[in-house]
Amino acid sequence: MVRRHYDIMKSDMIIGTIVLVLGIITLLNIRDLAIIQEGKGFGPGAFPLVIGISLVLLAVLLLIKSLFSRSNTDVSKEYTVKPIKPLVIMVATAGYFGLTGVFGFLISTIIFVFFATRIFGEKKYLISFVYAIIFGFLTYFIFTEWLKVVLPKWDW
Amino acid sequence: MESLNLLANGFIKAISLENISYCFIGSVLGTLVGVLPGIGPTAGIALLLPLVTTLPPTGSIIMLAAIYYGSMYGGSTTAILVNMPGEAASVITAMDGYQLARQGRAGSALAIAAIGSFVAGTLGLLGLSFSASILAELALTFGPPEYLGLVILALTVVVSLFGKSILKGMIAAFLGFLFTIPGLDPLFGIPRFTFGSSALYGGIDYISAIVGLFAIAEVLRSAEQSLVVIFEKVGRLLPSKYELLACVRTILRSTVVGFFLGLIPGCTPAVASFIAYDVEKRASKQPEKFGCGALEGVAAPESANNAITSAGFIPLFSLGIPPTPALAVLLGALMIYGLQPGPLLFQLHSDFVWAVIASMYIGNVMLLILNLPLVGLWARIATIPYRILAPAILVLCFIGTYSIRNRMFDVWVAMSFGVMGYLMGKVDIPIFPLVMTLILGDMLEKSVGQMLAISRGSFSILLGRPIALALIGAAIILMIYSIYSRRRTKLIKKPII
Repeated sequence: MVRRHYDIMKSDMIIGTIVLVLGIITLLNIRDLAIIQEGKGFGPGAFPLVIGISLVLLAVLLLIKSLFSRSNTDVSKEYTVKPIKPLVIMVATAGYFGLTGVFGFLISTIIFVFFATRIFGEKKYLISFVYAIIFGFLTYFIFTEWLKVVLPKWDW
Repeated sequence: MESLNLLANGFIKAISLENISYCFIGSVLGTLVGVLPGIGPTAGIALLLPLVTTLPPTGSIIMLAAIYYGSMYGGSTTAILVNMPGEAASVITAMDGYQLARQGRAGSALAIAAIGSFVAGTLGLLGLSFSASILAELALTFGPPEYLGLVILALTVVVSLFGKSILKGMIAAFLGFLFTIPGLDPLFGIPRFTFGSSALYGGIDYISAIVGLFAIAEVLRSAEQSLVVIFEKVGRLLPSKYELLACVRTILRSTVVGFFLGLIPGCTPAVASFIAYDVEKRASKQPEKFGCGALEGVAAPESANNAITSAGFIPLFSLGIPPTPALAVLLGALMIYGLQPGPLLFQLHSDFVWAVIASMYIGNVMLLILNLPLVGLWARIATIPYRILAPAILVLCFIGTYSIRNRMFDVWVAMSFGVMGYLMGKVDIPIFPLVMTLILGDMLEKSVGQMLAISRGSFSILLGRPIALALIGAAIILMIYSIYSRRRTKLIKKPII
C-alpha cells in the first residue's frame, strides 16, 4: 500500500479531529476548577484552559490546512505500510503486561518471549523455547534476587 | 582555580574501585546501547533505571551518565560498518562512514570517529568543568521569569527543529502539555483530570511515557522492517598522519558547535550532528566529497555529538533543566535519590557533582580503549537477530516501568505511549516536542504561576528582567526564522510531476 497525497490529507483530517475532540474535552473538564484565584493570580484551571484553547485552535488550523493543501504537496517519500505485524505485537505485548498480574513475571515472561520470538520470525520452536526459558529465569534472578527489584509474583 | 580544586577532589572520589567499576559497566552498556539498533540512550537509561534503587547514588549516576555518553561512541560503529546507525545521532555518520567502509577504509573511519569523540568529549568536559559552577552561581539569581524564558526557548527549539511541519510540532508539544495536567496541580496541590481514579492522582510518569515512545514504539516500527545485517571488513585501524591532520580542524570546529548547542535545552545530539556536518560541508574546499566518503563527514558529527553530551550536563546540573530526553531520565534518577538538580546542587552536594564530572573524563578514556581494539566484537553484537532482541527489549520495558512505582498503571502508560508513538510516526507528528513538554510542562506552569503571584497577576514583571526578555526574544526570532526558512524552502522546491 503506497501512501499518496489523498491519504496524507485524510490522516491530517483524522489527527485534526482527534486533537479537536481532546481540546473540547479538556475545556469541558475545567468547569470545576478556578481560572483566577483572588490575590494569587491564575488558578488551577488556567493552564488547562490555555492548553484546551490551543489544542482547539491548532486542530482547526490543521483541518483547514488539510482541506486547502495543494496537490503538489511533497509526497516524494513513498513507503509501504504493513500494520499487521505491529498490531500483533501490540496485542501480544498488552497480553503479556496483563498476564503478569495473573501469573506473575516469570511465567508470563517465558510465555511471552516464546511467542514474541516466533512473531518476529524465529522459525525453530526449540530455539524459541530454550531462549524463553533461559531469558525468563535469567532476568527473574538478576532483577529479583541480585538487584532486589520487586516484580509481580504468581499468587497461587 | 576553585573549579580545578573541586575537580581534583572529584577525581579522588571517582578513582575509587567501586566508582571505576560503575563507570566501566556504564561505558560497556552505553556502547552496547549505541551499537544495538532499536534501543537508543534514552530508552537504555530508562530501562536500566531499576538498578538505581539498588546502587549508591554516586555510583549509579556515574553509570547512567556513562551509558549516555558511551552510546555516542557505540552508535558510530554500526553506522560505519553496517550502514545501520545504532542511535539517531549517528545517522549522519553513516552517510560518509559507510561509503568509507565500502572503499576499504572502515578502519580509518572508525578511528577518526573514536578519536574525534574522545577529543570532543574531553574538551566538552573541560567546558563543563569550568562553566557549570559559574552558570550555577548565575542561576541563583534566576527567578520564575528566567525559568519561563528558558522553557519557552527550549520548546521553541524543539518545535522548530523537529519534524516536517511546525504546526504538527506544536500539536505534539501541546499534547505533551495535556498529559502533564492529570494529577495534582503543581501550584495548589488540587487534583485535576483524575476522573475519580486514584492511579491518576500521581499523574503520568514521564519516564514511563519515554519508555513507551522510544523503546516500545521503536520495536513496533522495527517489526515492519526486515533487517539484514551485512558488515564490511574493518581493515587497518589507524588513519594515516595526513588523514588525522586533515580532520583536526573539523574535530575542533565541531566540538565548539556541539558544545554551544548543548547549552540550549531542546538540542539533541542528533541535531548537533546534522548542524556540525552542514557547517563542515560549507567550510570545506571540496564539499562534493561529503556523502561519498569524506573523513571529515565522520569526524564532524561524531565530535559534535560527544561535545553536546558533555555540554548537556551544564543546564541539567546548573539549572535543573534537562536539555534532552535522555538527560530527563537521568534527572528522574537524581530525584529518586533526593538530589534536586539546579543551582543548589553545587552548593549542597558538591562532592557528588564533581565526582560525576571527574568520572566522565575517566569514562571517555575507557570508551576510547573499548571502542578501537574491540570494534570487531561490537560489530558482531550488532548482528544479533532482532527476533531475539525485540522480546528482550519489551520485557525490559515492563521491568523498567513497573519498578518506578511498583504499579501496573505505569506499565500501561508505557504501552499507550508506545502505540501513540508508533502512530505519530506514521502521520509525521514528531515525538520530541511531546517529550520535552511532558518533561518541562510542570516547570512552565510553576514558573508562570509563581511569576504572576509575585507580580499580582501582571506580565509586566518581565519588562524588568532582561535575561528573561532576551530568552523569550530569542525564542520568537527562532520561530519566525524557522517559519520563514520553511516557507522559502517550499517555494523554491520544484513541483513533483
